[in-house]
Amino acid sequence: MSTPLLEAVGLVKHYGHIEALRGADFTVYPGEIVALLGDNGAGKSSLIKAICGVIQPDSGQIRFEGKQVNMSSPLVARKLGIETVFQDLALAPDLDPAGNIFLGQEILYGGILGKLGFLNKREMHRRTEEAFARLGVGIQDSKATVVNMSGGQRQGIAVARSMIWASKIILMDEPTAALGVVQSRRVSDLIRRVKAEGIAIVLVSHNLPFVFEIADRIEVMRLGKRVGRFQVSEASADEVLDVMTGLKVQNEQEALL
Amino acid sequence: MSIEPPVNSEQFERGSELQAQDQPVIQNNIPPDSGAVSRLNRLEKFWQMLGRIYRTQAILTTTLLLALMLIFTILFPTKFPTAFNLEHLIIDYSGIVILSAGLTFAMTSGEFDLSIGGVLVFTGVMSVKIMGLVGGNTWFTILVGFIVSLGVGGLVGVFNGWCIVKARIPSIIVTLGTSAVSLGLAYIVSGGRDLSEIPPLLSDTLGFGKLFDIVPYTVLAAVLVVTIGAITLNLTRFGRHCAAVGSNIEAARRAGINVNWVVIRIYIISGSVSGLAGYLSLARFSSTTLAGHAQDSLTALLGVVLGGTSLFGGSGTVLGTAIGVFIPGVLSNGLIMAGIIPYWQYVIVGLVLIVVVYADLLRRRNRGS
Repeated sequence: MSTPLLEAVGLVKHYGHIEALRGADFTVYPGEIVALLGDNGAGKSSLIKAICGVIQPDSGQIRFEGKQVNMSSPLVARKLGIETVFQDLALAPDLDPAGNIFLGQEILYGGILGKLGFLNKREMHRRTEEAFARLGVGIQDSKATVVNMSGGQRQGIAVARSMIWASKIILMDEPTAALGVVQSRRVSDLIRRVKAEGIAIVLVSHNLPFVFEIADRIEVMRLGKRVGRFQVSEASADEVLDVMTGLKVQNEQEALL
Repeated sequence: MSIEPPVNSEQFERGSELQAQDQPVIQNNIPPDSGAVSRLNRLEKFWQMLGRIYRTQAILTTTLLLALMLIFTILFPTKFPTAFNLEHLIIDYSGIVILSAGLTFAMTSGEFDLSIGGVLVFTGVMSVKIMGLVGGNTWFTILVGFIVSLGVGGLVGVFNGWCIVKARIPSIIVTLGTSAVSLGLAYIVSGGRDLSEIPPLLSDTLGFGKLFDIVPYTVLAAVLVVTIGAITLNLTRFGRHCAAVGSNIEAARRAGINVNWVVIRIYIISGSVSGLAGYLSLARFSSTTLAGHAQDSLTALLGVVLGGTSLFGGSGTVLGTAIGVFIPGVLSNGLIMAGIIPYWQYVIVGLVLIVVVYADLLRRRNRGS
């Protein structure tokens, strides 16, 4: 594979006496779908939060396109083209999809109207519908409020939002946790289309069949460290599960990377 | 009425979840062949638009208001629908319209402001006192009074906002507290009696004057406040942020919105428009009317909720509010004509408030969120 797009090396994070990350490593290559697996408490959420700047690790470093970066706030990650879709999606149910997608980064009119803070709703709707069309998000009425929409449609809005703002990486925390079978399939279609745009995707998921269906690579965490790396095409679910639960230890030579 | 929208593109999923709830949908028996597609698309958009309008509480409120007016017109054909009566009705409720426009912002963001009635009285008293100190019957005097009214109201708003965002005290308690505080201070500063040393220039112009001899300045002020308020809430970034804060405060925070600053600004707006209402009340009554605004906060709250602003935040409409306020207005006007003891209006306003909030709750539950 090519050089990594993002690399976390030796991240350590303490919460009081609890060590969430104990020298965790993580790698993302350009344009790939990589799944981050691990049992509860393995440190997946902490790792994701460190990468998107929500928390700051006590030690270790994050390299982005070969350069060390200091993810001191979510804004830093955002400027680098890294967006996060949180598990709760963080949508405002009373706003329409465009309102959600552009929340906090609204498009204003030019000139004096813009100085007064007037929203260019037409342009925001246009870009929203464009993004929906590209991603195949099925929303018939882009001016209806989000509250009446299904779980899959909400997921679509959240992903479309991250795709509009992300140029390099989208981090997705449990994208299928709240969804049924049909809707999960729509989300995997969505993720493939995002990948087709050349954006790398990091998936945190417990849903092993889903991961095997969609991911290119798997990285496994256990007790705050990376303990395994797999190519999906060459791995079996049992193998991955054994490493996840600590039944088997994968050594560096075994990791086919 | 179960009509289903035609599917005209493969991208549009047609899952049953789409037609959930109260979206009106069109029954489609014709297969969408290529020629009919664009026409069907337009029809579909039209239905969506109708659906949005139908769901808008403001339409319901307007219907209710017109129905009430019709009833009183039939009952009192010589008294109710006269220009004199309607003009006075509108003037009487201009102050409440202004108060409730500010309250609409607070409620859109999911907060309350029950201090508006107290602030109205307090700003009036402070304004009279300062105008007395400045002295004279000049434009300068009444300009100072104007600035004092808005300034004092704005300061109370800053205090309200600070308590809510920094001390994290529920807004309903904070503003109930500042309502009592401001009313108490009003009585202390005025010595417990109504002050009526108002510059005659103020009551002659703003109080009783009319633009082009037609539109009373009091009404003009209310129209201006409602227009600016409606534009701000619907069309600007600030208005959008108010709704976002009321809809999902955590989402607003993660989107990088300075939530605290939004809330503080809302209370500054609410406080200073209450100050404006206080100033207008001074001009019209040439008195501080200490005891005359006990019900104002409640009536304004009822107007806001009737107008379609949700009690739980997330969406609000200043125009709806302005219409909603006139429902208790017309009701009390009609009750007086019917010879019913006017105190019944308090009973009715209180009960209607409870019923309307219950309806809002039901609607929220039905949306299943």
